[in-house]
Amino acid sequence: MADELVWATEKIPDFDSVFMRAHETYFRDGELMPGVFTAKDGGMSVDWDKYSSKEETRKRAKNPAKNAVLSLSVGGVREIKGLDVEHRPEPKNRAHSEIDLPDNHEDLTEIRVFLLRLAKIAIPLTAVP
Amino acid sequence: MPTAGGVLEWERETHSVQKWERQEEDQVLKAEIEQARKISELKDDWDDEGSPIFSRDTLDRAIAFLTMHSEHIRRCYELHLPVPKIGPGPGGSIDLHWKRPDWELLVNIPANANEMAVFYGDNYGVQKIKGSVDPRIFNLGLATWLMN
Repeated sequence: MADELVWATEKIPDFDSVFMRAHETYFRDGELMPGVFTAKDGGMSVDWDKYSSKEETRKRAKNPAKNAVLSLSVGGVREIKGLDVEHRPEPKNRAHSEIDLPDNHEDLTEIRVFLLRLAKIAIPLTAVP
Repeated sequence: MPTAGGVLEWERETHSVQKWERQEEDQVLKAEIEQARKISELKDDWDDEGSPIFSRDTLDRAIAFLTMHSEHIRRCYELHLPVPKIGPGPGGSIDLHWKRPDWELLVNIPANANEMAVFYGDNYGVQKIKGSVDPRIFNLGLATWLMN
């Protein structure tokens, strides 16, 4: 049996970007809604563009056809109060990184507004083959 | 030469235009609420990422908050509340999101009925509004922001 791959954790530069999936439910009339920015187990999963293409990020969804892909500038995320992007590689996904979101609901609401302004659509829903 | 009958006819016409505008606003709000009802039909893990369902109760509280502020602003200030997008928020909560050319406001109605609603808004500049409110009570601060 092969040993499980263990990737070194790296510091993500400000000028890099991360990709994240956005389920079709988070779009209304083609417009992204702020609910997409939500934490799972404390962090919001993203993929560092050093080790993942936007297409690979979409393919990691159970149902890629129902997902768009967003791009977030790492430097832009770090300019939002208290946020950071940390590389947390997984055996099957070296690109895996996380943005830890605050538990405080007022702060989270503010941060979601700023993340929405920062996000760019890397793969729109309509681009699904 | 104008007659008394002509003046009366003009008054009726003005009245019908106002009524049409109100009906149009009501229809936009009603359409948004109808669209939002679909959120409560989503199944557990609807995004394949483990997201929880949105309860009918949470959605009803969000709609009640919205209609209460809309009706109060219309009755007291004779203004129409802009219609927000009603969407899924984190952890089964519901978002009310107003994105206007001059300002933006996000109100989050929690899944837990005992928790306060939270909000953040700004004018893309230095003016900001942030805090918590009891979603069952009309809030003048938020209403003032919505009348910008």
